[in-house]
Amino acid sequence: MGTCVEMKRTRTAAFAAILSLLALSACGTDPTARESKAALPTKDTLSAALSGIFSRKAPAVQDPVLVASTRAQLERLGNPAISVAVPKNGYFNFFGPYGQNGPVATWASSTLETVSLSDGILIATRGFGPDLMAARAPDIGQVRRATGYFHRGYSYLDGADQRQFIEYDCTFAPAGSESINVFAKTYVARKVVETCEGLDTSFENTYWFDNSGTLRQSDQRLSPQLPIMRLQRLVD
Amino acid sequence: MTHRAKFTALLGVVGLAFLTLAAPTQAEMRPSLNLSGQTGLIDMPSGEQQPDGYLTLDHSQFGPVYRNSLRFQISPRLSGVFRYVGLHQWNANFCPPDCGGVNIFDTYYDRNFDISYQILTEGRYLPAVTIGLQDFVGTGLSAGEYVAATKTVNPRLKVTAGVGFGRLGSYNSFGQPFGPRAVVDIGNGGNFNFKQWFHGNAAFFGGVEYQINDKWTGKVEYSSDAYTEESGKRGEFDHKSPINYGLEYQANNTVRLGLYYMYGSEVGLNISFTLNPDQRPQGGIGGSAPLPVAPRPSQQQNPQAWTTSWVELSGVKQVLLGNLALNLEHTGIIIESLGVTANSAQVRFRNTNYDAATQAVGRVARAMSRVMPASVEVFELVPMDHGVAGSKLVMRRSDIERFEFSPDAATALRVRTDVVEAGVPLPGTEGNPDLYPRLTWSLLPYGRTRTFDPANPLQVGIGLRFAAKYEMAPGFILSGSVTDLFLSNITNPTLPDASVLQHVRSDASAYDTNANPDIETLTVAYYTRIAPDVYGRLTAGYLERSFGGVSAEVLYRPVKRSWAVGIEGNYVAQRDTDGLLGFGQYDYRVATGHVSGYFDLGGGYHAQVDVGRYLAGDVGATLSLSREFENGWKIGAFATKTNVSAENFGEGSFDKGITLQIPLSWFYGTPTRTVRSLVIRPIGRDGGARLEVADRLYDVLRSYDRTRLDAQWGRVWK
Repeated sequence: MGTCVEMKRTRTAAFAAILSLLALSACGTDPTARESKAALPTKDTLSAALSGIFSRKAPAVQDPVLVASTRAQLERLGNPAISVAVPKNGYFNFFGPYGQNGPVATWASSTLETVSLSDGILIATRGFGPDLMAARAPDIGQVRRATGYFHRGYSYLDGADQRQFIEYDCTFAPAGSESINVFAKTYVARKVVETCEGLDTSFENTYWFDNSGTLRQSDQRLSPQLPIMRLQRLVD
Repeated sequence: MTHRAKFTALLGVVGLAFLTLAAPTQAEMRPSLNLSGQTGLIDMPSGEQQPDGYLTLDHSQFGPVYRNSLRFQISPRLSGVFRYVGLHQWNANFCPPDCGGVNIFDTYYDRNFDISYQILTEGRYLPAVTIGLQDFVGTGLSAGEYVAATKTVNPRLKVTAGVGFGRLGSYNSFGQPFGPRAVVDIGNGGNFNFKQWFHGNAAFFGGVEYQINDKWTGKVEYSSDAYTEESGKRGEFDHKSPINYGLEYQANNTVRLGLYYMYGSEVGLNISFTLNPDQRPQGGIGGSAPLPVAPRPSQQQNPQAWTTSWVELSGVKQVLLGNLALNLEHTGIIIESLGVTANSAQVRFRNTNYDAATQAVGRVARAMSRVMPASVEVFELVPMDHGVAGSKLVMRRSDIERFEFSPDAATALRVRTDVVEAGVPLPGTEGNPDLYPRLTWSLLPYGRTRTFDPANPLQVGIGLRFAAKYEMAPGFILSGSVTDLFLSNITNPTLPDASVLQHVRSDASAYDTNANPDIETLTVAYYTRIAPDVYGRLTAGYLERSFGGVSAEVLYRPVKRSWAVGIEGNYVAQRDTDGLLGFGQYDYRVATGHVSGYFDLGGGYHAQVDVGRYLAGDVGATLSLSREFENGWKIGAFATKTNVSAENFGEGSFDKGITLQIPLSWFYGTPTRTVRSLVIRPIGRDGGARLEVADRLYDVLRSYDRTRLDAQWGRVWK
């Protein structure tokens, strides 16, 4: 126990996101505590390697050469990576694994936003302002089957920090196949549309499953102020 | 056409509109403000109120009449207005030669308080009805009472009709239904003129509001205000017609502009700003994400991780302290101390960042889940402020692990969390070795204002303030601040009606002009928890700009109750106006102090009563009522009555005012504990003046009361 406690001292909150991208030796019981002193890169080497990518609200990278080289870097790092975009405010960033609690995995950016996903289904966000605090969400099996009903519940805080719980009746339907481009890699994906209706609002979540059945891309409801979040799985 | 005929004709137009206008479906018309900052038409009030909690600022002018109003919707049916009125060309017809009395002013300034209550909310057939008192504690120049009814005829059209008294019954009166209006001696002003209310001449008023589209609204009204003083007697403008016309533009959710043609002779303008303190405009607050909870491995699979032998290791608390600090980097949370047993841990911490104490609690709990050995199941979180523990939250670690992502995580955790008296640290608790002594300082822009001087109603000084705080040990705080104004038009005029009391406050402008730089405060303070629920404070030094001395306070604040009581005693001397360290100029010493009661009335309403002796040696009581919003806004009013007679008090008769506490997190949309405080006193006099000591106990501990923690509980998972 003692040694493990010692090792945790090396972590800083801002570092953890980047470090956890770097497949380092695991310590003890904490799935996010994967760094060791020996493998610790300096802040400078990291920022040099990933400059221009990990900046808050950076526009989605357009230049195909840069996109390809960024993908190459991420694949070289070898750790799972996703990208998160919020079209409403122009947010875009890469996220790495940050924590695991039961089925829910939390991913973080280097600028300390997090998304928490249960098999790719959005359960919570933090650091975006009008965050999704928690959600009652369908499991990935139902989404994949593209059938049936699910009664969703989204929990938010309003401008008075009071909890708001908004419920929606959702149905799933297959929407054919299409080719999607996920950061310089093309997939033929099966598309599933989830249509949700609430008291005064309705919205759609859209899911794209690749040939292997992996949820490769999705557009999911974040909050009334930031309606859509696009999640892409870049490195498995 | 007689005026009564005009009014009848207007009603006819309204009726016609009623019959002919289609009812297109669209959002309901928002209640708008009149030129007096009340909910209303153009110069007349209406039967409506603003949405609950709304705060509006309004500036209007037409001809010689200028008004600045601050309006607050105290409850869904009750609202109050504070207004500062300037009447230009006041003495043009008189001075010279007659420049005596009120004729000395070429612009006459007056301060008004209004209050209105909606006795009937609008129904399908019934109109909204509001009963209101205008300028009900002032000198009475603007005094009037009314009952007004407003009905939404269709989504674009609202019709208002009312009966006014006093000023609002001065044009084309139909008689005196409740008898003549008593002539009251306004004396020094500021008294309740209740013998006049709803007496004397009464007259009808009314009008229509028509919403042309989402942005534009047209208004027409028939005003029952004759402007007898301004137009009739003083000739400030020509009142040719009772009909006013207006066109208003809703620029966005906050700003509304109006252009008017008033009384057949003048152009009018109005600009209003509407805020909803209850809702931060950005919605949920921003700021960095927390570190996630790190659940423990199961005891069956990894029994070794659940050993309790770690508790025997030497230095383990220092290691855990360090790890907690690392997990809380960039949160502004500072660990004060840590105590552990094999299955529980108590963390005492201070929060320098989050406007909601619960957010800091949630961050510490998650950090503990990442740091504490698996056998630690009970988390005790003790928020500290000024070195004393505010309360204690006791949580089960397994609940934090279990509910992190449950749809109603906040409620699930709250119903399993004990909020109890702060208690004492666990035996063997170790303090954070890096914390004391601790020096913090700031150098910030600084402003000072002097308001409501008839010669120049808004005087401003701009400069810098340097403040420093040195904490020697928990609760033992040396602090001071110095200000310097670089740019100032603040004047120090000789007042014609100088106070007969000791000038404990009325020489404020002497301090403003003489003290530059000004040693505002220089104190040493000690805060301590004396016994369960009992706290103490001792402060000595230069306590405020005008007084120095010793201040001692004891507060009894049961954490499970919604009230607290305190007692404070001070012995102080009046400081020199040069802002330095002397006391020779006045040679005035006074023992002052209060017994205070604090009551959380529920629903966000809060009351405070202070009974005791004030700075001028007068004895009396202060009643403060406020509305406290969950996100930190606090808007209130206070009044102090002491044994100083109205004559000796001077203008205003007794001390009263409005207080605003504005959390900057509301504007930024990101967490900060900085709060701007504003006190609007129509007249600052020497009676009923209370010593201003920084960081009284109730204010320091308020964030950690059970009621406040509950109000902000949603932030625990933020």
